[in-house]
Amino acid sequence: MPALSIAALRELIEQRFPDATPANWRAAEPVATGVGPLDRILPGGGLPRGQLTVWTPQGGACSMLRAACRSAVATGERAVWIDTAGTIVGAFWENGPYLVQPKSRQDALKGAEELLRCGGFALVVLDGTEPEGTEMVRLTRAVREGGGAFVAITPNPSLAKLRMESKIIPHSYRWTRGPFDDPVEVREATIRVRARAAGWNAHADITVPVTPHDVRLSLEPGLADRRGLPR
Amino acid sequence: MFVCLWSPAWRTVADSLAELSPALLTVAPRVVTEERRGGLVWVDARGLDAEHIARSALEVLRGIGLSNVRAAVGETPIVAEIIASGLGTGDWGLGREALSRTEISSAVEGSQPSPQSPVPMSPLVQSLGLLPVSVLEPDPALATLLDGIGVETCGELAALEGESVEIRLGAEGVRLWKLARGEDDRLIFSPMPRELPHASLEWSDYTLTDTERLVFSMNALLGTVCEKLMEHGSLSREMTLDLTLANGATLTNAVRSGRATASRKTWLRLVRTLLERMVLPAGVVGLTLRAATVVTDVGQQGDLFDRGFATAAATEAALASLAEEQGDVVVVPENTAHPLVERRTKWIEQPGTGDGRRATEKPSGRSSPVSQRQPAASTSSQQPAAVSPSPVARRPSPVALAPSPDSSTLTLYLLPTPRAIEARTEERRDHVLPTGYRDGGAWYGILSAAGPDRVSGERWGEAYAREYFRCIVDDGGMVWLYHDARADGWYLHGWWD
Repeated sequence: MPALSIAALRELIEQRFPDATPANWRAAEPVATGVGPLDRILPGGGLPRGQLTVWTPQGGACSMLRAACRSAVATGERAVWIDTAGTIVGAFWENGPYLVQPKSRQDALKGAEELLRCGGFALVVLDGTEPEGTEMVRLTRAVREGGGAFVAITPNPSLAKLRMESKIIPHSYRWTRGPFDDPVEVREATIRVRARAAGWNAHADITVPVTPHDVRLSLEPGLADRRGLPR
Repeated sequence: MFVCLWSPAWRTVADSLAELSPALLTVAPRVVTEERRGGLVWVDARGLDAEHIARSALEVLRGIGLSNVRAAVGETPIVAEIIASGLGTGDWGLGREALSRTEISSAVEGSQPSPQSPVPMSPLVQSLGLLPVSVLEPDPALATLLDGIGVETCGELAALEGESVEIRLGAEGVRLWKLARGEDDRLIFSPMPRELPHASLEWSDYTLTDTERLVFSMNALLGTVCEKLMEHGSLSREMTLDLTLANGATLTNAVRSGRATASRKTWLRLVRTLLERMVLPAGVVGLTLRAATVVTDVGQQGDLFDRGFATAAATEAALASLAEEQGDVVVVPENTAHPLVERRTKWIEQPGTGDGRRATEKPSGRSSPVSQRQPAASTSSQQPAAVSPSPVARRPSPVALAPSPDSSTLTLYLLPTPRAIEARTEERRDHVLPTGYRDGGAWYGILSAAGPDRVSGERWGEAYAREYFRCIVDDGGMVWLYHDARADGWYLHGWWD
């Protein structure tokens, strides 16, 4: 009998035991994101509690995590988004999760630690701050103490139990076309999400809608505003 | 034991019985007066030597010129007042208990020459015996009814069955029946209102107008008040702050917390917010802090199946600590319809603990070094002027249905300050379309762009004229660029994520 390669063996195990998860993931019920395809690729069906998850910035990360925050609130728990850079647009923020806008990087890290340690939040998302070295250690300890899920949007994966990457597929955008067949509004796009952990590697393509906005002053929202501007 | 005082000559020394209270309070902790039976004065001797209290009260009254006073001591108020008012003289005809009653009667009669002597009551008395029903002061209609059924004495009334009294004579009859049996559960002395924790500070050599110094002083007072609250296992929902001013006036303000708490930190933050918003007409020479609404800390009641229930207190404490250390960082948006997206939102503190909303307009631009399209954390040049109340850790209400799988959407994110970029463009009929841009040293190719979305305005003020483009970049991201028509420059304003 020919010896099976590790990759083939892993594939065989995934086929035979599709619901199997690493033993260390079974300690607590994970925080479901509410996005079906995403939950299916996450170990345990959601973001792990008591552990650090790192998600690389951009590429649809915020859309997935905001959905996770809303899902946590919908199930009766609390979620908080720490927006250090102040990039959240108020017009598109839905009340439900708490929104914290610290004034400095230090404040963001201290605030994250405090909120993680209190144990009252099922999900804490830290955006706009990249913890380094001992800062990551402190946050990891705090999340272990508090027992919630913590996601740091940072390219630095150190100490993370789960590493997430996402990328919007460039040619996956679907446009609403105008009467002159020019692109007017983006309807949806496809995000490729990959989840990596010890003994775990899964990915999925998730199509998400794009929130429209309107700054135009024309009467017809579907038409581009072609009025001239003083130059 | 109840001590009752009665005199036919109260009005000779005082216009009202209440004027006798200050003198009697020197010998007893509480004094209550009633106008019934010509004036009764009750002296609280519960837990004390009743006979001593009664004798002392008689001495005090004699000292102010009242010599004709009867004092009676009884286990129940009705017995004490009947004896004090002189209605309980003679043999009450109680059979086996008559012996003790006779002693008492003797005592009463013997006290006629010296009516100040207190008349002790035997604990064996079970009814008021041969005393006529009229000593109980029945309602005239009920008195007629009792007379009609042949009940003339308290003993006869007490001998009836309670159920039959209730059916035939009603609630008033039952009350009289209980009194006839010597059962009197009247609350002569109502429960003492608890003294709520308070603390005050006064000074005379100077006046204070500086908020920080006032907050410093308040911190000390809060420490005292909160400590007293915790000693009693209580929490406060509202405190009253009185500022005594140098011009003689007193400013009274209420400070409310959304959740009852005895946390000094929480109250200090609320007080600080109040003081920072206050305009003082004169310097402050005194502070008084009182807990106005106090509740017992019995723990939170709620739904056991609420997953956020058990952690509400910890969450609130964490958010409160965050707000205290960093200011109003827990915010909610208040949106307008301004054409410029970055000016549409006013961030206000999360409504919470009773002080209502306080708008803190976040600066639309922060000086921040950024890398590529992801701005780094920045230090704001504007610090909020006040520490805001802690937001309440509201209990999220579970939604009956599971969230839709499509709950994730790509949403616009904005740079705090639009960043100037260099753009490559193509000419179109009446505008230019970006085909690439350079940001932070790297060039990004634009696969497709939608626009322009033109917006202009405020010609009388800070005029703006922008042409926005939604651009798909070659790495898959979608960015929001605009061309400033007035300055003829290109800017990166945001991206979708």
